[in-house]
Amino acid sequence: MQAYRGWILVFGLAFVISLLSEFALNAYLQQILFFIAINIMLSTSLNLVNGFCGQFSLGHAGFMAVGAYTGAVVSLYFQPFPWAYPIYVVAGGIAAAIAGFLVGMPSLRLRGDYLAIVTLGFGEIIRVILLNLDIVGGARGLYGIPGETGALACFHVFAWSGATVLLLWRLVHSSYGRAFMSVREDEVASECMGINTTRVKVSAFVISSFFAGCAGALFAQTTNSLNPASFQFIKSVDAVIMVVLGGMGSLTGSVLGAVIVTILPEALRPLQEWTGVDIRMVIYSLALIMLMIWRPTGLLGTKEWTSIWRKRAAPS
Amino acid sequence: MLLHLKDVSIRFGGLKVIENMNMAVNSGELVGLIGPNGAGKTTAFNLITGIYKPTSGEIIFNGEKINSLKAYEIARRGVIRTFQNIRLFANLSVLENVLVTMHMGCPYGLLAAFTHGPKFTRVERESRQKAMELLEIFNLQGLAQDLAGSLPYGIQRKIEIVRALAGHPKLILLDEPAAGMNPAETAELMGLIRKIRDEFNLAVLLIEHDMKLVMGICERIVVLDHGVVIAEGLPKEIQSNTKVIEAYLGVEESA
Repeated sequence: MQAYRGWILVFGLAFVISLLSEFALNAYLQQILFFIAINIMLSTSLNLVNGFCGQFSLGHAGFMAVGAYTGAVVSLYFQPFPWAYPIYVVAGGIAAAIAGFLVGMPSLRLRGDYLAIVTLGFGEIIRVILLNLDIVGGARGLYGIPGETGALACFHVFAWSGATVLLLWRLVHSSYGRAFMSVREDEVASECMGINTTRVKVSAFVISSFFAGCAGALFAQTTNSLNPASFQFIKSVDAVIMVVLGGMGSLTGSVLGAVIVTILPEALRPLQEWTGVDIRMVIYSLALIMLMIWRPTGLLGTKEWTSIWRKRAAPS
Repeated sequence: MLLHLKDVSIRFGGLKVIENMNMAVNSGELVGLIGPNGAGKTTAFNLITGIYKPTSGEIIFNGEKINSLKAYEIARRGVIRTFQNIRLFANLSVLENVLVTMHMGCPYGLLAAFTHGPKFTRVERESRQKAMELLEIFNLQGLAQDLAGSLPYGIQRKIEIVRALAGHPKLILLDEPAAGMNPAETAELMGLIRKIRDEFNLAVLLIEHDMKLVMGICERIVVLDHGVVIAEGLPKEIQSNTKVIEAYLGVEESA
């Protein structure tokens, strides 16, 4: 029963959100909603590596790009049956996971900040390759990528997003999750307690890449076009900001971070029209600086919504 | 013989930290490793647990050469240690700390971790129960949900022992288990070390500066000085050994 309750919650929420979006939102707001869902996938999956495993990956946009282009190409050249969108998403995820394995295997054997440098390089390499690869459109990008529209699209995207959070939540609350966190806390002690730290780090990285790839494929389906410019370094930084903002090591924090980072620039748009200057980025950066001063662990720290809720509900 | 060090040496550059160390621990035995500061005791632990690789010599555990094995492989074969400068997983709860060591015997795969099926639920419940039982031995069950890093030093040392026990070791290495404890706590700890040795049928190798503890519970003592084993024997023999007294107190200069 417990195994199904999560899925009922995920599909139920996705259903409610898609109904709401269909009747209450215009196309612009719907697009923002899609980006929120996709960014939730990016931030929670990145949190697995950066927050739970204590490594520092800076190339999440690269894995997203791999997933996006793979999903798009598969959907353009191979359509087994009419509504095969989940298959394209999985294809994108698998391609990104393979890329994650190839990047992670050599760099995660080492301790320290090597991963940050390698992933930073990887993200740029992928972007430059895509820029020069004619079969995926090069700098012009890829157009006419099939994707559903309206409520159905919303349901698909949010079901994936919810599934990502649910699966990662379960993973983190398992023996494997504790192994991830032990590596973050003290790698030497973890190794001495019988944990194959290299294997643990690589598996976290591969899982994280998989979901980033899925997010990329969904991005391709909702925007129907891809361009290497969407996957610049700043996109990876955005993902890191969402994780840090929400709290490293808090999945629900990452969800919150993704929502805030997606909405804030859009919500500040009227301010820009009103003042006539692009003041959005100034406020955005100020908000981050203030957060780092007053709450350096992020909004939720390593806590989850649920644990805060439980403490309030039953003070013992 | 459970653990056997044969002519083990390690040098860092030109510095010989341990030279031709020979030592053995039998199963079920309680052995003390003592020596002045900088004698190489912790380095010996690091060699046995695979954090350092010996420059020469052989380390044999349970009939198997473990020189070139990785630290986690050695831990899985049944050698688990505690640390002199406590290395608990500070931001995890006490219970989670203990559960981490159980991960090596985790019977469910990654897929089950994603699905949280019946097997997962059962295994998780059982391992939590086992961890709680271990904590109860050290009377720590009430602190199971507290963050390990927030607890007092003496308690953290005990948690480290419980965490090591959770991995079903055949040999447990305790690096200064009584450091920072008051006499009453030390006395309690002595009882606990004996108790776990008998109950879990372990061999214990411990480094300690508290001579009351060492002389009180160790069946055999090995003395290390400047990386060389200078004496080995029963506590009584060690107490009267002139070489040991010289190593600790220095030689009186003859006029």
